[in-house]
Amino acid sequence: MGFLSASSSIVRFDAKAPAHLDRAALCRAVNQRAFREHDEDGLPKAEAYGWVAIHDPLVVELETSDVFFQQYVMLGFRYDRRKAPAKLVRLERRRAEEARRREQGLERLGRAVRKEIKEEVEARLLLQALPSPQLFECAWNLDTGTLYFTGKARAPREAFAALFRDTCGVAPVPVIPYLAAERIGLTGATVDAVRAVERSSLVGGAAASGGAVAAVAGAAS
Amino acid sequence: MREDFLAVVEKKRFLGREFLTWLLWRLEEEGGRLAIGGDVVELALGDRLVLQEQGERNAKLTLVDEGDMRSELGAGLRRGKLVDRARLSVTLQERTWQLTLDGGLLTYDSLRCPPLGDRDAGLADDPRALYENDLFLRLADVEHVVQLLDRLFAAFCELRASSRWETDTVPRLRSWVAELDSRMA
Repeated sequence: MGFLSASSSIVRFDAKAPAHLDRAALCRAVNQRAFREHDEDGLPKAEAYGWVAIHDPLVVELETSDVFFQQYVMLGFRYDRRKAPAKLVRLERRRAEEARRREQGLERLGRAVRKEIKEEVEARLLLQALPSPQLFECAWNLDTGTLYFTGKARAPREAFAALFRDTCGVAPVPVIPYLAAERIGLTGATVDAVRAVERSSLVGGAAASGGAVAAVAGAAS
Repeated sequence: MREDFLAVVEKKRFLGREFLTWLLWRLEEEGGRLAIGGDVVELALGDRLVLQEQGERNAKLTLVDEGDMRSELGAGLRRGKLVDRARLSVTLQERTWQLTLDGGLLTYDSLRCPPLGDRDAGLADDPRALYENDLFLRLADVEHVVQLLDRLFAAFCELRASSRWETDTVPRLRSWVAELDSRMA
C-alpha cells in the first residue's frame, strides 16, 4: 500500500528534521538498515523489516537520489512475517511429544520439556514457512517536520517508527488530536486550554427536550 | 515516557471524537458547505460511521448505510458514545477526496485522492521521472486535504477553548442529539 495506490491509509507523525542534515550519512544509515530477509546466521526470521527504494521494493542498495526528493525523504518499508499455521504446529507438537514419551518410556512429560518441544517445533516449521510481505511507504517533509506513513496496522507501524528513529536519529511522534493542537496555528494559551478540557456530555440538560431544535436549526456557526 | 504517551492518547481520545461529532453537527446545520479560511469546501458524510464510548467499556457502534443514519446516530450519541470514525468526502472546487477520518487518532484511512491529472508529455520516455512526478502530485494532494482538515480542527479547538463552547455550542449539540433521538420514536 503506497501513496500512488487507489486508496491508502495515512498516519502522520511529528519528526523535526535536524538543522543540518548530512544526506550522505543518512543514506548510509538507510543502507545499513535496508531490508534483509535472513538474519546474520542466514536463517529466516519470524519478523523481518527494513528499507527498500520507494520506486522499486527489490532495490535495497540505495543511492542518495533514491532517498532525497526535493524537500522530502522518501522510502519504501518492507515488513515480512513468517508464521507456521497454528494447526500444523499443534499436530507436529503432539507427534513430537508422543515420540519423546516413547523414547524415554515416560507416561507424562514435564512442563519444561513440553515448552522445549513447542519451541523446537515452531522453529523447525518456521524454516519452511513462506514470508507474508507487506509494502509501505513513507515521506518525510524536511521543511515542515511532518512524516507520512502509509500503514495503520500496529505491528508494522511500530516497527517502522523504531526503524525510522534508529536510522534518522529522530523519534517520530504520532500526531494525535492532543498533540495536533499545537501545530495548527493556535496561540499557546489556546493550546493549553484545549489540552486541559474535560469531555462534555452531549446528553441531557434542559435543551435536550427536543423542542429547541427548530430554534437552532440553520443557525450554527 | 511511552506509557505516559499511551495514557495521554487514551485519556484525550475524546478530543478528536468531539471534533468529529461537532463536524457532523455542522454538516447537518450548514448543509455541508463550510468556509475554511478563504476556501469554501463541501463536506459530505459517506456510508460509514463508527461511534465509540470513552473509558473501560469502550463499546462500539458501527453504522453502514447508504441512506439516512440519523436515528441510529442519535441512539448512539444518547448512550454516551461519540463519533470515532466517519467516511467523508471533501470537495474543493473540482477536486474531491474521500477518506475515513479517525477522530480518536487523527489518521486518514482509505484515502482516495483526486485523479492526478494530465501528465507532462516530456516525461513519457522516462518512467522514473514519470513516477517521481506522480508521487509529488499525490503527496501535494495528501498534504492539501490534511491541511484542510487541520484548519477545521483548528476552528474546533478555538471554539472548544472558549466559553462559547459551554454556553452556546453544547446546548445546541444536546438539542441536536435529542432531535436525532426523537426521530426514532
